[in-house]
Amino acid sequence: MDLNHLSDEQIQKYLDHAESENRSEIENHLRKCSFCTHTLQIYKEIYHQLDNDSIPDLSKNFSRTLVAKITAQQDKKTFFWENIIFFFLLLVSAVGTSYLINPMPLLRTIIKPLLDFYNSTMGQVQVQLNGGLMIIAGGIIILILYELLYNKLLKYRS
Amino acid sequence: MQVGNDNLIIEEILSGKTDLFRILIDRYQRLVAHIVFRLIPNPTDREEMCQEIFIKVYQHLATFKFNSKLSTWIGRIAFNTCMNQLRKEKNSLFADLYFSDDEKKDQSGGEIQFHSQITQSQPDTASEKADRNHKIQECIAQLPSPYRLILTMFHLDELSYQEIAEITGLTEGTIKSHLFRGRKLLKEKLVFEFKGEEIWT
Repeated sequence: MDLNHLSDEQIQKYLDHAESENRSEIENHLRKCSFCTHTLQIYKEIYHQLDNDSIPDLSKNFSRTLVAKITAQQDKKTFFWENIIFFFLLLVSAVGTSYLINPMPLLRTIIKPLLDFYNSTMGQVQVQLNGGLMIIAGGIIILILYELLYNKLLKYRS
Repeated sequence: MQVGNDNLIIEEILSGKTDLFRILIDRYQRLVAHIVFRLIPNPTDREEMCQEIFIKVYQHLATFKFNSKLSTWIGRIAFNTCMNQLRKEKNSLFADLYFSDDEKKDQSGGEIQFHSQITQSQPDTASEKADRNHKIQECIAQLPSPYRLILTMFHLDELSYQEIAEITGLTEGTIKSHLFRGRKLLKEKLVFEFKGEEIWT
C-alpha cells in the first residue's frame, strides 16, 4: 500500500467508515502520501456538498392545499352516493305508497311489462316502456345530469 | 418512536380524520420532492407529480401493512410514479448509465490529469469558495439522474443501502456500485472543471 496510491474505492470506503480492517494502514499511508491526501480532501468536499445539497422546496401551503383537495374529492363521492341512496329510498317509498293505496294497477304496471320484456323481441320492448320503467330511466338520467352539473360547479369553486 | 407515531396517525386517518394526513405530508414531502426533483426533468410538472404521489399514498393507505418503514413505502410509490411518467414520455431513465467505451475513456482520463495539475494549496477567499461551491453544484446537476437520485437519497435523506434498494427495486450491490461510480464521476468532473487551478485546501 505504501508503494501504490490508494484507489478511489479505498478512499470512499474509508470515508464511509466501511474499511474497518485496513483503517490504520490507510491512515499511515495518508500521512506519507500528499497525492492521496489531496484526493481524500476532494472526496471530503464532495461528501460535504452532497450532504448539504439544496433542492428547492415545494410551495409553502402544499400540504394544506392537498388535504383540501382530497377532502373535496371525498365530499363529492359521498354526495353522489347520498343522492343515489336518497333517490332509491324515494322510489321505494313511492312504490310502497302506491302499492298500499291500490296494489293491482301498480303490479300490472311493473310486473306485466317486465314479463313481456323477457318474452318479447327488442322491437316490443320499446312499446312496453311504460310508466314504471320510465320513472326509473328518468331518475337515472336526472342523477347523471345532476352529477355533471355538480362537477362543473366544483370546478369553478376550487 | 416515529414509526409508532406513524402507525397511530395512519389509524386515525383511516378512521376518518383526513386532516391528519397533513402531518404525513409534512413529514415525508422532502423525501418525495427529492425523488421527483431528481427524476422529472420538467420543473413545471414536479409539484403536480408530488400531489399525484401523495393522493396515491392516501388512496392506498389502508393497504400499508407496517412490514416496512412508511418512508420506504412512500418513497417506492414516488419512485414508481415517476418511472411510469418517464415511461409514458418514453424517457428511459437508466439509459444514460450505460456509457459508450469512448465516454468511459474520457471520464477515466480525468484521474490521470489530476497528477500533473495539483499545485500547492493556498487559503480560499470567500468569493473563491462561493465560486467553487457553485461549480461543484453544477457538476452534481450534470450527473446522470440515477446517480444523482441515489446520491441524494444516501447523503441528503440519510437512507440506508437497504432502504434505497427497497425504494428503487435495485439490489444493494447495485446501489453501492452507483454510489461509488457517481462520486468517482463527480471527482473526475471536478478535476476536469478545475484543471490547472488550486482547488482544495
